[in-house]
Amino acid sequence: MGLSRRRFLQFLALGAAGAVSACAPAGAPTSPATTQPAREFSGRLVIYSSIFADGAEALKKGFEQAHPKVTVEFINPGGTEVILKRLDAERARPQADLMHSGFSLEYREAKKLGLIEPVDPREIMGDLPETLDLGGTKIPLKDQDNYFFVWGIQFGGIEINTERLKALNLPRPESLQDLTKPVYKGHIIFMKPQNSSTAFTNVLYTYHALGNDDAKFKEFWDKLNANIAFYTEKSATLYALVAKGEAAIGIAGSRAVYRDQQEGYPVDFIYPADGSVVLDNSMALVKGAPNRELALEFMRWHLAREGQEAIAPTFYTPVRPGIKMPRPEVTLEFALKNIPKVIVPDPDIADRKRAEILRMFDAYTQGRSR
Amino acid sequence: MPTLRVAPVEAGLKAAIKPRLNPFSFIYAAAGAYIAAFLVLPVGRILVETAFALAEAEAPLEPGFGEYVARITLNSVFVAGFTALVSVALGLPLAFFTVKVMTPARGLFRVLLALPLITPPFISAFATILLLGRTGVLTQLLVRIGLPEVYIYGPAGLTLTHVLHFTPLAYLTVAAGLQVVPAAVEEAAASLGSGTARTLVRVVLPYIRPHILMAAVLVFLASFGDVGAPLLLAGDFRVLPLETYTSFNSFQVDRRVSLILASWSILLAFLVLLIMKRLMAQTQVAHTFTTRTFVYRARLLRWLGFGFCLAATGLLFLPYVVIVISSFGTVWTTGLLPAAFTLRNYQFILTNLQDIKNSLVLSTIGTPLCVGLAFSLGKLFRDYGPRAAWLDYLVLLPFVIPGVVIGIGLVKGYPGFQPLGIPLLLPIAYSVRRLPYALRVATAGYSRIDRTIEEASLALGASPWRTFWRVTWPQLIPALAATSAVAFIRIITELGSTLIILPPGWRTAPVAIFYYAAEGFIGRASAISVVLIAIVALGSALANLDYSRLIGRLKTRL
Repeated sequence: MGLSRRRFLQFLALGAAGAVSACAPAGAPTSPATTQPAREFSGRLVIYSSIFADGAEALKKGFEQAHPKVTVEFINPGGTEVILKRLDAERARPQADLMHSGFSLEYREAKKLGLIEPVDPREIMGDLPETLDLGGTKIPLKDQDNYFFVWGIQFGGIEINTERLKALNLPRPESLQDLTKPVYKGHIIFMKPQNSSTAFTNVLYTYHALGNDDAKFKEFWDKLNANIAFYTEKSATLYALVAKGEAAIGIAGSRAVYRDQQEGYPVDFIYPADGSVVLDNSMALVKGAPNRELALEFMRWHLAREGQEAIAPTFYTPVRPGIKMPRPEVTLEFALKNIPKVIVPDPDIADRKRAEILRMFDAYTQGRSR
Repeated sequence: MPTLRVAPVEAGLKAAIKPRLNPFSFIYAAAGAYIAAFLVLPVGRILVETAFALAEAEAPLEPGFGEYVARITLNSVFVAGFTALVSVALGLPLAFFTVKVMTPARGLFRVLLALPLITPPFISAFATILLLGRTGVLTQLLVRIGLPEVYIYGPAGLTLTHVLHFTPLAYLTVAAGLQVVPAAVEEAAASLGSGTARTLVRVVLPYIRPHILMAAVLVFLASFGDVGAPLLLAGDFRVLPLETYTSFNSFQVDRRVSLILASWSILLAFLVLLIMKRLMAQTQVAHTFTTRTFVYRARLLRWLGFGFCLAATGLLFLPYVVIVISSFGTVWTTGLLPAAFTLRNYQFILTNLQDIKNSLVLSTIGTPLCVGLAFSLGKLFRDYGPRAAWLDYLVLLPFVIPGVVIGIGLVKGYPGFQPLGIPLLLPIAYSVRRLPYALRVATAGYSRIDRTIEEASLALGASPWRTFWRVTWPQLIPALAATSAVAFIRIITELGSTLIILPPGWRTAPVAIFYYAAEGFIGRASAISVVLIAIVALGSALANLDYSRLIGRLKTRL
């Protein structure tokens, strides 16, 4: 009995998936998604995502390989804030199926605005637990009302250009408090929290690190703002400028720093002594998504072993344990050993303080408009 | 023996003096409706929304907001003004040496000097960082000889980038003026004993004063409306288009801010265009006749011209040299060259051609729309004269309004507009946004047509329709090529409106360059820039071929 080419490939894929599952480290949960017979999907999946180009390319390639009749279109309109803006503008006729990347705090905004819709976690999470245990700190991997799901994490901290720091004879900062010292004046860059979810989450984290004390928070940022050379419009620009040596220090997320390091740029990432915030990359189904079933399949695939393995080479730390990473620095184990203190953003405080924080940064950035 | 046919002559003349009755009325109506739907309504919508947002507001704007708007406006004026001044100061001698002096290789200089215009300004900004950033190549050389680092994140970097990018615009405008200075005027001055310098200062410069002013205004507007370079280089120095763009893109700040800034940009655009229109009226007079150009042949002047053109062209080309080097490089940080050389950036393009294909497809749809509009409106302005001045004024608005504002207006006005599955909103945005450039060239083409030939055709009984296609159109062919080239170049490099509209699956090459550059994939961004520049250069070279002569030759051979 002859097999068609497609059928043969399907068997091959199932066999390969089974082999991968069998090779997973002991104790690593096996995703049921890999053992289920694959349903055939076709069509075009549109994803509004603030993910970097390398991550988008890896996910597109992986999902299109798993579903050869599907085309994935990643659109990055310029950051998570812009995605919210665009989803709102298209509310009457949604063009996207998924909102992707950016951190959970932004997804809470999308949820409040009615831009995303809930998904039954049983459909997409498989055996993935609802929280990730980071040395006793519980990181939620889904919204309590099932509106959004976390697919990868990274940590907030300090990026340094080692060559630039050496050329300027600057000491290596060890904490965010260090960055308020006059010696660093004009050598730090940061993104505008008004435009960047990475920046907003990092700012909120300093609030938590300072004991949620309004006065200390304001004093800290007044000092840090005085040392900041300028604010970039996008988080991506910050990484590019520090990697190039245009700035010695940036306040950033870990993923892009390790990627640039791998590329050969003289950069390093410092987990600050005052704590590192968890930056939880999330995704959600767009309300009224034109291709709902396909979007759900992507979410399921992304959280299953295949999707997590697809993204791992680009240094996004998967939430599913046991995924092989290209470098030890981006494993959860390394982070746990090296992070002095893990800080999880408090969403309720974020909601309460958001307007005030953005106003504060409006004053900082507008006041700097020489 | 031919007989005189009086009645048809009268009919033809009647048609000529009653343009409303000719078949072009339908074309004018269609062009007007297009402008109303895709320019007036989106822009008007923003103004109306601003009025409502302010009227319905419960809380006042943040204290100091007015001061902030004034500051960013002044910042924009400062950069644009200084850019205009320096660009004209550079463009004027360049134009003189390549048009009025027998400078060696002046033909080559003319081609090379136009090239920077075919790249988006943000590519120039990115090159400025590679050259003069804190770890830039030139900065390293300056530091090695004991000079301090240049700080480019602010007005200095922005102005430098704009000067390098927009000087060709000043050069081309002034060169166009110098080409129409009648040789007789300079010959008369020379015969009366006036030296070269005196003739230039007392005769030529006053003659081309409108073109010099126009060059300054064009550069001012181009610099004033640019958002690409400030996105990379502004630092703390905020300018109006950048703030409009970022406030539009920011979801969680006071929505009135973006509306106010957009409306303020629109009102400023009207003000600047008022000045521009007055200048255009003067330059159009100069364009209406062509003449022989007087050329200076003094040996010293020729070699002085060669030296100046060589230095200026080298300066303007420096950014592109580093982009080409970067396109073959791996990581480029603090060395004078990249850490290693590779072909992987070009290999990446070869396996990911979709962005370039998209750019070509969208430009191929957008260019005919833009050119069709330009020629329809050009004819309308010619037929209706001052009565259509308000429309002429209106269609120049996109020259000054940031692309992102037009993009937002269109997305809000026509969400998901994809007739037959074709994402037409983007080519439509391009056609409207780049119309001012195409319209200027088309209008110049019309202004060179001898009306007496058309009148003769009408007098002999040909209808206005037939007269246009048999008499006017053949004379417009060179202008058609030039208009198409200008429209294509400006469309394929458009970024602002694309960033906002970008339909799924249609990412363009400029957007890809922008994201790759912003995300640190410098080599990849450079390689796509090089390919884009090559495509545009090829396109403009094809458009500049003398097709009338080419067709004539082919006919002769056949």
